[in-house]
Amino acid sequence: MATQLASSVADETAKPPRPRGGAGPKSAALAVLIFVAIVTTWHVLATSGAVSPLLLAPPGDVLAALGQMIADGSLWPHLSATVQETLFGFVLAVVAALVVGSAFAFSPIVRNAVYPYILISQTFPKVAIAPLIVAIFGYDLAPKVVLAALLAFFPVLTNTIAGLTEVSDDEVNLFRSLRASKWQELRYLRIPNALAFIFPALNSAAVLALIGAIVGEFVASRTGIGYAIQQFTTTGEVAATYATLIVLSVFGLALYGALTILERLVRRNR
Amino acid sequence: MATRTLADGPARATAAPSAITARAVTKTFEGKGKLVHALSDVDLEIEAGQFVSLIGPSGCGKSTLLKMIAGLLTPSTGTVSIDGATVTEPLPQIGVAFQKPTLLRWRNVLDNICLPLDIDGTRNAEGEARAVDLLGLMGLAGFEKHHPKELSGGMEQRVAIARSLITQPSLLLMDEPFGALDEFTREDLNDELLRVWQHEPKTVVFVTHSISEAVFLSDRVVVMSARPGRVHANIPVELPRPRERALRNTPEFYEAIRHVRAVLDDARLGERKGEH
Repeated sequence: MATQLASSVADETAKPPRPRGGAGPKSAALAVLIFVAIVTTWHVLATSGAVSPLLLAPPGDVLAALGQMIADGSLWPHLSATVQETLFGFVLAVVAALVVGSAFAFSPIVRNAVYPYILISQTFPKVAIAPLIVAIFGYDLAPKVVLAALLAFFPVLTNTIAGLTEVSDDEVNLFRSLRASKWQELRYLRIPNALAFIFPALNSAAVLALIGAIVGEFVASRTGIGYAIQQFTTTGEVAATYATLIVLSVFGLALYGALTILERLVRRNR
Repeated sequence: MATRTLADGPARATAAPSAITARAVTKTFEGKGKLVHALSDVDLEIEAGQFVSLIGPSGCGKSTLLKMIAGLLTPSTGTVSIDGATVTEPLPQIGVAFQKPTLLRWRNVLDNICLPLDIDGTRNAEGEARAVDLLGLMGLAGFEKHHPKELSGGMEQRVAIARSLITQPSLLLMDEPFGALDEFTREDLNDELLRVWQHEPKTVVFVTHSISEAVFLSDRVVVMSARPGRVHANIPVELPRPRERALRNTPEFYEAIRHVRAVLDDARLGERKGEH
């Protein structure tokens, strides 16, 4: 905190910086404890016979299956297929949502006319049309990308519109009084304002894109994590099924982490 | 241009203060099927370099009048002109401060003050040095890198005022800038505003609800009445300058307040009679 305060401000306290999330080491210790508890419970349930081995494999076996998949390379084609579907779908959705969202934001007529339909498509369970999409786009990459994009599109779209339009009258008047051009208003006010809305939506969009890809694989595919899960489940390879789920979870986390880094980079430069 | 700092050196060579003329200005808003007469036949003359406050009951159109001078609203009839030029859009020589500080939360204090320079495309080291000087003059030295969320309401408004001054406007328009602040902070900011004004002579139009604030700051208080808004009276404030905190304890100050209050009551009571 600055020390050269003028006397007139000395009695006026600046708000303290927000406390950082959690209490450091204590939170970390608790997190480890929870992890140990989960794995232990899992192990006991799986080995004591409380849960059928057809439904649950012990953690050790799952880890072994995971190691096996990685060692013999059988994981990679599946993982690479799902990663591609998810990323292509995500990028397609984000680009489309940003373009369409900006168009909506700057044309109230279009926005008001089209918004009811957007709302309908938002509330519609899009996975229900997965078989139809597969029928249209075939068995390979395309239908999964389309499904992933379809699911990821809407949160980004609505938040783009909100972020670009939800500026106060005072802010608009400030920019007008500074004789800012429409472009400058966009550059200095609306886009930076929209980023605060868009980044949280990107996190949901990434998760939804992954869901879309997996659902597409469930419906019809020859490869991918969703396909592998189905195969392992039908053939009774319980440990391998769980190993695949762990891979899926790690990929989800990696996406989230990548977006967090991207957000930090973009916000620093706005 | 001289490179003396704002706080120490004499006044900078800024553009000459602006003069304002409003002629037969009316403003009618259309709302919910009926017409609202916000301003009716307002004539106002503000000489260059004067500090003028607009005061009056809610709905008297004082903010509307200010927004017209700022070029943010256009009169329904009549004209507003600054230095002889009719106002049809915001003119480059104005600086505006709003009731809310309206800082951009993703920019730090220095970048917020320099926003007008970014928009003009004239931000350079000299401009930033001026921003730092203004910040010091507003009692916020050392806060350049802070973000708005780390500031109190009074500090945010100080930054907003520094921003409105960064382009060295010849006319400063202030729309109840201290309305949301507590009494003590408001008086501090009044002191600081006068200090800045004495360093950089400029015309100021100041909208307020506070009689004591209007008297303390102004050369002239314009009392407005409501429904429809019009100029009720022009009251010159003859208190000596420079004005300091101590002035607030003098009988002359109280006498001036009493006078303005009497005229304001007259404006409000007249309006109430007119309602029935």
